[in-house]
Amino acid sequence: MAKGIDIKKLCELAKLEIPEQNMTEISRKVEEVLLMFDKLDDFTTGDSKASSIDDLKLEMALENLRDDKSRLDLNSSDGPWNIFNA
Amino acid sequence: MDSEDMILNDRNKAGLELKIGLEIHCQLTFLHTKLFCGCLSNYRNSSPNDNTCPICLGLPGTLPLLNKRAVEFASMICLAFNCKIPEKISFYRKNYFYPDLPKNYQTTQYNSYELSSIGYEGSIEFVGDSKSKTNDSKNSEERTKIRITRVQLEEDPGKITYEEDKSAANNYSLIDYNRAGVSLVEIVTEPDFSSPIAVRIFLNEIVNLFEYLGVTDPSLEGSVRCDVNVSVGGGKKVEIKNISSFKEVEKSIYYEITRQKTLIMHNIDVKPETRHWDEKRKVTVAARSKEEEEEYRYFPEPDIPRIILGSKFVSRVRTSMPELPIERMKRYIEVYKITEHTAKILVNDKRISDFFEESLGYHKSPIEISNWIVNELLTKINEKDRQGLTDHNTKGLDILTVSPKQVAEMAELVEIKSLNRTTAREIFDKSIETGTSPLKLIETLEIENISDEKSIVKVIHEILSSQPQLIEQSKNNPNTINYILGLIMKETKGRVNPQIALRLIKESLEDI
Amino acid sequence: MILKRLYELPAFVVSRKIKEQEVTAEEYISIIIERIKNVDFRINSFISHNFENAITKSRAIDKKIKEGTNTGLLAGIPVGIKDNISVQGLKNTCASRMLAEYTSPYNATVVSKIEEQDGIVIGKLNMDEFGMGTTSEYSAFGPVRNPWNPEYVAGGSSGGSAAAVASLQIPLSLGSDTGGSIRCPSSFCSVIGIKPTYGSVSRNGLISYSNSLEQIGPLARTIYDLVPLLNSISGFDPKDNTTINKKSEYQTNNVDNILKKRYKIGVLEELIDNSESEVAKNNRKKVKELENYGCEIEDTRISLSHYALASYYVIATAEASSNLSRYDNLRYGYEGSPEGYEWTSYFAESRSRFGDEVKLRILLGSYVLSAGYFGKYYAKAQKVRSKIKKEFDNLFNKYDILLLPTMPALPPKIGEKSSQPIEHYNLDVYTILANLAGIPAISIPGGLSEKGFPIGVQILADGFNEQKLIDAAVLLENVEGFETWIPKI
Ligand SMILES: [Zn+2]
Repeated sequence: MAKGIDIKKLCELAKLEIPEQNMTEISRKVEEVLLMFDKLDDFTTGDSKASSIDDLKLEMALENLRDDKSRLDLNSSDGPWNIFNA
Repeated sequence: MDSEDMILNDRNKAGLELKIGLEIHCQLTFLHTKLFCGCLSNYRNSSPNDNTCPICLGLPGTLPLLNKRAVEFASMICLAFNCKIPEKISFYRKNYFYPDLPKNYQTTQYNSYELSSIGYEGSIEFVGDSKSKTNDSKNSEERTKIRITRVQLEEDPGKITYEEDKSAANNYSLIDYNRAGVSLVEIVTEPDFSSPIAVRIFLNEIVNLFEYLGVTDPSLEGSVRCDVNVSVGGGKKVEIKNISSFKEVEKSIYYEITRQKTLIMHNIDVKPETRHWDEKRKVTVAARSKEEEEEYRYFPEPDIPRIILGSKFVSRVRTSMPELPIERMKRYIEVYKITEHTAKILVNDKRISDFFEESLGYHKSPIEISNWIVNELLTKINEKDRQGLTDHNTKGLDILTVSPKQVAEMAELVEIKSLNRTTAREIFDKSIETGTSPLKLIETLEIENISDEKSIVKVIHEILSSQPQLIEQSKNNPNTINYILGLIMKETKGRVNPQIALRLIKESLEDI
Repeated sequence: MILKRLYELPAFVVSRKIKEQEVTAEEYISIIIERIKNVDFRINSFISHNFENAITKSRAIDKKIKEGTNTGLLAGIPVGIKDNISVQGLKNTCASRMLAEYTSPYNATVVSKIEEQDGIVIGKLNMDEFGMGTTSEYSAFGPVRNPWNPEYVAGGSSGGSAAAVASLQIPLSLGSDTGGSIRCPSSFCSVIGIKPTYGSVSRNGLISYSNSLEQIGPLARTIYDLVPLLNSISGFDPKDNTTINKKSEYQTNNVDNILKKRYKIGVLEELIDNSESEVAKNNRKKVKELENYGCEIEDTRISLSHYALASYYVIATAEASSNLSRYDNLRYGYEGSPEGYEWTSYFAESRSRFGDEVKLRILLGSYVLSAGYFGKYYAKAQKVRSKIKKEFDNLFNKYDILLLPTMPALPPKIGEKSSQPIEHYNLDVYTILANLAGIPAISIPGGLSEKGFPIGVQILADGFNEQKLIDAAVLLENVEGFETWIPKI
């Protein structure tokens, strides 16, 4: 899987400019690391129940979100965007 | 419109099925602050880049702070579109580079990997194609059902101003991030529209809905935007972006149908792509290929926890929701005994419906007032509308300087003083023109007449001298007095008070 | 004690002297500044200094004390801040040429909290660019040198934070730990460093590398200095929705009280065994020391560590590729104007200023998130992650704390590992576990190798059980005072 990566397309996607002379080395490194990532293919969960993709994601009750209040405080050391330490 | 009808008829002959879907973006303009920071939601009065902070500028180290009210507003929209609301919602990053995007990704919602969005699987019905010329009037009452795929909450990008319309000719472009981070609700429909007219009716319908919900002011420029996807004859889907107003939406669809049909006729494949609507030239222009744009590298936004709405959330939002047009219509019919036709017209524009209700506060006569609004007021508005005097996306109640109180007084006048229609209309016109209350106008009119008894007497004497036999008749026949009154009314075009005139007639006859 | 050598003392001792007006905060700060000027040219731990402001601040604290006003936990103590943590008005480079001219207009929450406790920001510390590295070699400002031997790396990515503390320049610093970035340099430089539970310290103002993994944490020479700084910075923050409202006040208990808690210790023997022999030997010695206290010790294992590295680097690079998208030099960054460019080429050219390792990770992250690969990489990595968390949950049902080496090897020579990404990443195998599971972890100095390189021992506890880590550190520190392990500079 790690073979044959279109590194130029990837650079275009990530808006990175990589000098031609560095291309070989960066390709080698990308492929080396992706080979390590492929270890994940061996991992099977055992329980195949479709769990959420992100079990560890923190959860927060709606009530604890901030109120829709703009408390502009131009003198706060944290600047006018500080909406909490009014 | 004729060429547009031809396009549709052509389509029908060729047997090409037309599928149109919409993506509507609606700014929650009635929020105080942006989606993730304390900057003002109302960015429209600030000088460029003033309404920004480290969060909405995406400065290093800043974290998004989700606005609770934005979640509540978005769920109101979901309920109005009969969507399901999950117990938990989450946010995703949509990664793409663009100068108007401070972080070069947009925080949004995304349902491919889990149920993330605030609303899903909704639907909305409306009376479709009422203006379609090809349909007879019975068909026009047919209800169209549009399925809603999902409703999601996301942030608006900033705004780029180009020096020239053609991007190649630009020496510079200016970016204003005042809008960046404003709460946006995206409503995605299934491709359930089969005509551009249905799209237009639907858009008017939902703009009205937004107004009822009190979440957005559609009259603000750019507050409600719409992307369209069109496919002809089961072919590939083409998305049209960058459409500035609803009038343009319809035009762009007509153009796109013609373009795709032409391709099909010449056996050229329609490419799945995004096209921009060029408003000046009235054509769609290829923007980028689908493949390119699918590389959005979505993944869960790690800085925002999954938000637990809880099981009671939906019922809580529902009870706190303002009355929807459909509910209001039901009330008008059941409580006020207004006809369905009139009720529908009233609720179709929230401001007109609100106007009606406010009028009722001055004079509780729903039927008479509704008639005044529907038959008199709206006719006037429609006249102005046809003259092209109203804004896009809105209807023109504002252009008439008439208050609910004036309309209520007209109803009162007609009912209590049994004014005839002609006089009433004249008073109404005068009232609108001068801004004077109808009750005042009629009073002035009456005072003029009363103070001018001498001229009424003069009219009486003229009648009696030209028809002297009436004096004799009056002694035997009491109806003669009414006959004389009729003659006076005719002579004065009804501008005398009948009670006063009757008294004066009697006095004149006795004096002789 | 001669006033001039005040920098050798633990911060809590000096702070007491300042409060008792034995010395002034200004004198202390001046001595510290002198020390930095004398030493750091050999270490390269600072990127920028905040000396003038620090002196002004110290005078204000002296004034407060003279007036009898209460002062905070960190009264008069200089704290160095890793250069990826925002301090208002200071350069905030992340050791990147990309942010060479960026000055933060706001304070990170942790910085505000330090200032609330009368701590003094003394400067910004060197690191691997954007926190991406295990050696602090990938800095646009040159590598941080290990105070024990300047030919060797200090560890990373918070290399400056560890080296400045180890070389007695400053008593306290803040680092950030995404996959071991506090603990690795702590181990390599022989200081104590803690990665707190995910969500216990605000990340507001921390320039994100991998948001779901990283936390800010303190570094110090002794646990008695570390605790007040940890207490100062931790707690719920309305400006970070991923912080959890679970504030507890940490204590440095005395040994007897700790022993009364009868901690049960699990030793990850397999991981000790897989380490370089001197590391293994040292860690076994630490186990022995705890055993000598009478602690109950048992060997145990974690089975999924095999997948941990892939899981960690998939998540870290994916998040990084997105986080680093914003650096396009349009709104801030370095001197340079987009005039005459079409935006795409301007973005690409601006972003070519990232260092090679950063570019590599951006490319990797873009790849694993690209269409069709999400399930294969990111979703799979998250599954491994939650499985590892479950494995830890089970372990912490049995054990209060787990013991393993911080690093599998001794510090490498500068330049030794630079061109081999996997070899490099393998150094992180023991530290990433805590980040994946979101649990707290501490690296405690364990002593020196035969050639005089520091070795650290790592202790893990269940989420929000930092107190157990602190207790373990107290036990180990009381066997041999860490102050004996001070490099000769
Ligand atoms: Zn803002």
